[in-house]
Amino acid sequence: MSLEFSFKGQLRHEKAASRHFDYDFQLTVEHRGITAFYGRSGEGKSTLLRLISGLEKTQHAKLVFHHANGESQIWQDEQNFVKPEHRNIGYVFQEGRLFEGLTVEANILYGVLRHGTKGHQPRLTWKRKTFQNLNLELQTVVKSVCEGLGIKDSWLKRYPAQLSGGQRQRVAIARTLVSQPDLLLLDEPFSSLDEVGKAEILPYLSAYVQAQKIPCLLVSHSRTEIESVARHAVIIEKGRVLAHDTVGALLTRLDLSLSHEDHSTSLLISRIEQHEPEFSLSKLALGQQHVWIKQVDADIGQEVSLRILARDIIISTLEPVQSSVLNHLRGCILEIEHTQESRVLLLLEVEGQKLLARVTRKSVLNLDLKEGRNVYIQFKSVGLGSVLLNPA
Amino acid sequence: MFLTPTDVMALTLTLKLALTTAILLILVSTPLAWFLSRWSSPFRPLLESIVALPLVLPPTVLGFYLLVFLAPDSVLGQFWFSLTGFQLAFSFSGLVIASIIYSLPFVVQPLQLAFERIDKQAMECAQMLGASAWQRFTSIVLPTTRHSFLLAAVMGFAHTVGEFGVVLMIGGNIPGETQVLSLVLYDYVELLDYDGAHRLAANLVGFSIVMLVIVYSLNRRTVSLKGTGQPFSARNRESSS
Repeated sequence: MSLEFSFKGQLRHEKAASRHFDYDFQLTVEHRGITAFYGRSGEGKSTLLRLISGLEKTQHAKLVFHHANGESQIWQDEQNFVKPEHRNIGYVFQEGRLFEGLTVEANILYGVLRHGTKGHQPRLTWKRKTFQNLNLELQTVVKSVCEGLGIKDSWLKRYPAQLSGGQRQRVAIARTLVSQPDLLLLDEPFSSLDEVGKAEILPYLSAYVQAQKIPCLLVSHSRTEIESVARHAVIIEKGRVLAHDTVGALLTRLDLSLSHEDHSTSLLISRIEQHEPEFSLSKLALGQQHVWIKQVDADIGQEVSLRILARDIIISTLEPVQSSVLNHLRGCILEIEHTQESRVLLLLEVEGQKLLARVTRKSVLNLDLKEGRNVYIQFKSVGLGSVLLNPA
Repeated sequence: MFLTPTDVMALTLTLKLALTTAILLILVSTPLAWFLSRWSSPFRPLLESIVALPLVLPPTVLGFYLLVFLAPDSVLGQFWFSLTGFQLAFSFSGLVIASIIYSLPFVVQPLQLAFERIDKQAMECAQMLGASAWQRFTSIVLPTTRHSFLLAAVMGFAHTVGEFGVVLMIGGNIPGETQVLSLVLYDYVELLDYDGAHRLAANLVGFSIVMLVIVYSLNRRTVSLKGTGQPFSARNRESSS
């Protein structure tokens, strides 16, 4: 499944007339994992989601959805406009937007009972709207989604006002997923979740999207969220697509501002080779080399992406011996940033993958670092990014 | 406090008129109020003024124009006659039409206010969950505005019971057809039958007080239910545990 669109129009800010600008979005989004829209606030990311959903209209628009069976459906062009409620889009809004007058259970079932999901029409018009009254197939779907998002049975009879912000957001995501959308739009859906909540929900969402093979667009201003959940990213600036690539490739492009931010990060795709329970570590294979990280709950052979902060990296020209730092990799300097600042960015290549490191300009001189030179790369902390499902 | 057969007939007629008017008003006003709450056009104040006109016009002015428009030789009067074989002026149907116009602002305005307060975000959310316009109306709009609907219906009913000038102009005071309570009372006073007038007036005052108590208690409930729906105390308790 994929989504193809182009939109032209003018973005109006209600408060600041000076911030009006023309937008011109053109993009094709495939179903391979979550695609994130990244950009500062007010650059038109949320507007783009609203345009795709049909909640917002613009005259110069073309929006085509290609289904898995090869069928294409025109959602919008010069002549056609498919109503938002007929597009089978799952839209998770930033504020959750639960229906305050309905119980959590009725909230979750709201979409299930209306979306005529492919072939069957699971309506419950006069019956009480409870999970038990659904057909077996839907019960399984609802149960697995609720379990995956950590929604407890004790919440079901409560009203949204009795839930915390994080709990409300989980319910809002569940309500959207159980309606089995063909396309998932997420507008800052994790902002009310704490770190623990994110750590629980992000891997589930990422796996869900890959398993369902649906395109999923995520708007976020948090690069941590994007690094840990998205496969592809689109950088949006002033209503235009600045770059569209895998997250790993975008992070290490020196011409984009992402690599120059304080938290600049790189992603290394590696494969779980073995677990070492006596040290609570997992050994990962990165080409011919190895990395040890805190033991993760993933199967042997599974691909995971590792997040490494550029400022956490130590570069040395000699192989480190007798160091407490467990991880060191061999790599080659591809590019050194030209700057007069105290610290410079190095773009390194490790086993065919790109890695960013930030060192002082003084060290570059002292160690005589040059493009093409082989170096040793040490790092202490490693964050786990998205667990990637292996292509079957 | 015993009512005469004339009084009872007038009372029944008044209640029948008020009930018919209230039901028809809700049916007419719901789409009108919805349109007004969603219409953004420089002409909106004009339409709102036309709806509100019966609030400021002397009822006799309204009654006079209605009499002209509903008269047997008018376009509307002839159309109605060819349709039903009855004339509109001095008939119950004519009274219903007049009452609908006379009480329109009392029903449209509370509904319009309620529709303007509807959470647009919730409506969008329902739409993205596959709810059609009608399903959004029944699942979001009706439950959140049901008190306003009740209030609007009661207002339309009560205001119709209390009308005098319009029915005097257009009704013709025919017992059992157009002679409503307020007209009977007027007749008593004209005939200097103060006992009958007292009897009827006391009943009307009692009835009005009951209606107003209902309206105001409903009004209070709508206000208290209007809250943002996010009681922070409850949420804080939950997140701190």
